[in-house]
Amino acid sequence: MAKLEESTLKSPTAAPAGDAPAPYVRLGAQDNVVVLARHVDVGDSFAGPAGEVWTMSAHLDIGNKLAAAPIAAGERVIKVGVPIGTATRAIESGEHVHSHNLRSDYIPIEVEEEHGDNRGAD
Amino acid sequence: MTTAAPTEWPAYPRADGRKGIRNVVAVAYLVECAHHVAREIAAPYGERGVHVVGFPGCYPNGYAFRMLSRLCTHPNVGAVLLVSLGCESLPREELQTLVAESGRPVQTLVIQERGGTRSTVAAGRAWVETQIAALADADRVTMSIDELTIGTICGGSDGTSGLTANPAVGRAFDTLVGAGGTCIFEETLEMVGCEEDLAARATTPALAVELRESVAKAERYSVAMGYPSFATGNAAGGLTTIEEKSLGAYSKSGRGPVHGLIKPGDIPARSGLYLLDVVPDGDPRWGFPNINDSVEIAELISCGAHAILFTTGRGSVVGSAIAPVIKVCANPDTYALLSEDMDIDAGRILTGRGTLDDVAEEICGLVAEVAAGRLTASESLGHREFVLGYKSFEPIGPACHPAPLPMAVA
Repeated sequence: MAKLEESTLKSPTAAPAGDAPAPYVRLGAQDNVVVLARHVDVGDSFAGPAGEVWTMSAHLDIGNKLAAAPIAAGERVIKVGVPIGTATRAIESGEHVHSHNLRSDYIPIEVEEEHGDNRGAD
Repeated sequence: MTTAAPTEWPAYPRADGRKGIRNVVAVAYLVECAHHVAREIAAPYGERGVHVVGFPGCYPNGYAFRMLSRLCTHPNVGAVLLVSLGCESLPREELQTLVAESGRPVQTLVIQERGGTRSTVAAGRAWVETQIAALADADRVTMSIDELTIGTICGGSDGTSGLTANPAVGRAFDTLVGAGGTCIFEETLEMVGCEEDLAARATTPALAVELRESVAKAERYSVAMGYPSFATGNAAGGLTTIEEKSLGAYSKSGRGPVHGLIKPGDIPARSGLYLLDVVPDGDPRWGFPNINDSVEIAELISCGAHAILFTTGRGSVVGSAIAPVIKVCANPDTYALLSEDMDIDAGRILTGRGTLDDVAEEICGLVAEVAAGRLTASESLGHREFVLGYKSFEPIGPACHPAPLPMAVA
């Protein structure tokens, strides 16, 4: 760890608000989700790609997805320009996108619990 | 990055024309009942390049025999000790003959004929010590990137794998193949949803059909097993669907043309990019095709991979017998926790400390350094995992590979 010079230290309040880079990356121009590049906590607030302010209601780790725009039930979810499944319910802009609202178009993942699928996965 | 990576290095010449970047003494048990003896023989020489491989099954399996044949004649192997119980069905004389014909010193010890465990361990250690001394004086020849074969696998994937480490390995593959090297990717089970893009990269229309079919076979196999290649840890890392995970896994293959489809034990006859199909043919009958990452690493090595690029998000620590494993860590948080097990910090892309191209360049440089003898993290920590089970394959068809495969083994 580099030792900080005394003169370069700033008080937390000196940091300009809103100057931090967005905690997510958008991987494709057509994507309707963004991917977290670092974890977020409950109450964290930042701007989505369309400029609206998102406030997080849960702790989410790096790699999780947020809706970049409202997604209708039955709509394809697009990441890196490629469909990664279908929304099982309406998803709001900024909402966490995961197994509670996104389903594979290929093979259902058995860690899902919401669909009453009791084929025996634990 | 400090000094420029080497473009040439001394390597071990083999009679089949390939060159090795390590000179390992392989101790192979031919049934689980001989595993303990093999492990005891190798135990004192962990730091001196003696690695244990083997097959646990007592009943015959053509795939397992072919795997052991390829691994015992792998360019990184300089001498082979076969350890047999005596009543297993793996044809040990045939294996010994194959290894001898490859120009390597080989010895078979049959426990039931040697007076038991203690006597066999003593005889095995005496032979191994002779080989270690002989290999220390082995001739070396110059080797360069165009003679290297590199495999890639991902394990313990999370949402960062497809953002950092996997596409960085893909770019490194583009560079290595461009320099005349051979690269092998696999995990058709994790390409469901990517099959059309894959097929479009085939160098011939007939190969495109084969590539598409290999993914369809993987999907049929997963459905029959009742579970795709997706573990609970993947979901905890933010990945939701198999096709999303596929997208990340698939990006390890880079963007270049795909030159062929091979199966375990097939050695590409010319340089290029190859898809390794590890899903058994025929009706699913041997259970999960990839019970863990080590099985697939051994299969990549059986195709001649000198070293493995292993991308991980959650943080795998495994290495391998026979070939060095380079850990490319996708997740900056994981890297901070497990840096002693990691070789490359690809997650720095997410924290603004580098670009995909920077990491790809670092990977290519490290590949050359490891080929020149630098130990990877898993090598220096003594990781030499090895797993081999039952499978069955049909030989690949003429459309799969544009040139005949050398050294056919039944």
